[in-house]
Amino acid sequence: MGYFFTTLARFFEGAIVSVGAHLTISLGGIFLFGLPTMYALGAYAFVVCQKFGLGSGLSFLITLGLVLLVSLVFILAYWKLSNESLAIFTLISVLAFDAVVKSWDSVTGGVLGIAGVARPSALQTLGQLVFWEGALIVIILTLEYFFLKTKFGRALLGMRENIPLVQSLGISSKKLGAAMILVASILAALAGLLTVWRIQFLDPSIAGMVVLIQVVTVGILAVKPKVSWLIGAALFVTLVPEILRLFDLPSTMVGNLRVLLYAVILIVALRSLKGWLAPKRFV
Amino acid sequence: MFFWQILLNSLVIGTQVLLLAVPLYLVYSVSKIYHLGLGATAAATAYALYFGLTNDWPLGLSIGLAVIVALAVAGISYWLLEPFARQKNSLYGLLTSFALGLGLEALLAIMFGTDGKFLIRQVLPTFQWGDLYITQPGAWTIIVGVALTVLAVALVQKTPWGRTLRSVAENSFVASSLRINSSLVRLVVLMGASLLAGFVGIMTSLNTALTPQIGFNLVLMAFVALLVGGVSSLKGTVMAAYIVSLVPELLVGLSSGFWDMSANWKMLLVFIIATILLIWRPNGLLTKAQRAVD
Repeated sequence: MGYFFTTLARFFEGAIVSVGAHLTISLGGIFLFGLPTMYALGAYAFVVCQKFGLGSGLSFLITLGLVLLVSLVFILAYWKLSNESLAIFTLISVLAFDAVVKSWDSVTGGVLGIAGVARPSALQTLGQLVFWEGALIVIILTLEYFFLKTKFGRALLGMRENIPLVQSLGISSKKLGAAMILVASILAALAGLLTVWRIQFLDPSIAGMVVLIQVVTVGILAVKPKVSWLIGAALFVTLVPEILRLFDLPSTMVGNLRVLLYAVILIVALRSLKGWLAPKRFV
Repeated sequence: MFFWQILLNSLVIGTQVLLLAVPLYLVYSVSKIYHLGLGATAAATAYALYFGLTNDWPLGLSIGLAVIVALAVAGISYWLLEPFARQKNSLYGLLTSFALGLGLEALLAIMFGTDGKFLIRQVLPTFQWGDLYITQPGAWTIIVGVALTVLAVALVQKTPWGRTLRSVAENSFVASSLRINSSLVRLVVLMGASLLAGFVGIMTSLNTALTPQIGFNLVLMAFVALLVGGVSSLKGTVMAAYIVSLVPELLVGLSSGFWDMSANWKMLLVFIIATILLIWRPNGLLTKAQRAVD
């Protein structure tokens, strides 16, 4: 039962980050590679605040403030840079945040991390956590479903295809893109917080390239503007590495094999889906 | 004296970044793709040399194996990136090269482990001038790096081959109509870029421990140099490569005794410098403002 709940929780957490990836990478064509930064920031900011004795409400507000601040940097980069440059810039943020976490050990616990992270009283057991995570993902997916039906949702889809056309309809692509970056960042931070409540331990390995390649793979696989594609992609990305459990492999090798597996899936997806991924010109 | 020593050490790192920024610039010029996999190419080449040396192969044979690995990775990169280069789909090219880089690093970690390996087991030989010193691999990095960069700039800007390359960069369709084989140009550039990246990987692993991630930080620093310098300006890239390497090194080096900043903070400093410079000059340090024509 524990394995089932853990896998389910991992799927829910992955799906929450993936909604952000879906809105930015898949639908808006915004190459935001900084989601692992937000994932780790959400976890670290809250846990560090609690470590210094702050209440849950205040910790949550500080976390939100920090997430908004870093999002603002990403938004500025989105406005100023080309899409490829944004991807590189936000990718560097992952390494920069990793450097902060590893170096500032008096606050973050350095490479050893912070053990014994307490769960809120309503989420004391893994079953309770899974239940609330499930409820949360249903709400988020419903909101995304209805958002995609609105004129802003359609404009977001249009942004990937033709930005000037979206602007000609009186919608600011800059503001819409910025809003999507903000929403994706908050969702990634929330997923990071839920993950740390599940594992009750925090160290620099919580985010990084593994999370990034997972998120990007979901972003590419969930190419269609449908919630069902997003769920399918998140489920696929969560379950595929479970195949490795069938083999008796050393634990040091499993992590690298997972990355290799995701890399192969991503390359195959990009090559086979490129007809769908690249914007088509209708005449 | 302490300042000059830090400056000398920083020059070595700056030249390593520069040596990776130049192939990134060349690949971007002909394909409009940021090739993130070049960092992993550097690591793979260095591991090939390590494999040869630890199995008691002669040095020439080990270097030959390293060259073959660099060229093989160039071939794989070409096979994966060429469809996107032809479609001018630079974003999915970037993603493919990112996946290739991470996959290659994971493969190296599986084959060789993640612990640091050393190409030279004894104490590194040094050149000494009074109190100043530099390791011999570091000195060779600076000399060869500067020479190769000057050669690359001259090749791109002053030779017929450079004109061919720039014509493919500007408009591959027009270049094709003039019987220039754009795909072949891209393949040759990728091979040259992989060899250059491999050289950087080997020189870096002579100075520090060899790990699968050795090229990743370096390639990201090189990207910062490329973005800060301006993707269309090789001179700007050269200047930015030294700025993004020297400033964090100097800040970390000179902070000892005041705040004791550890070397791990360097990547954060690079990020802050990149943020400031990119917001100030989003098109690059030396790029002139142009009137947009639609």
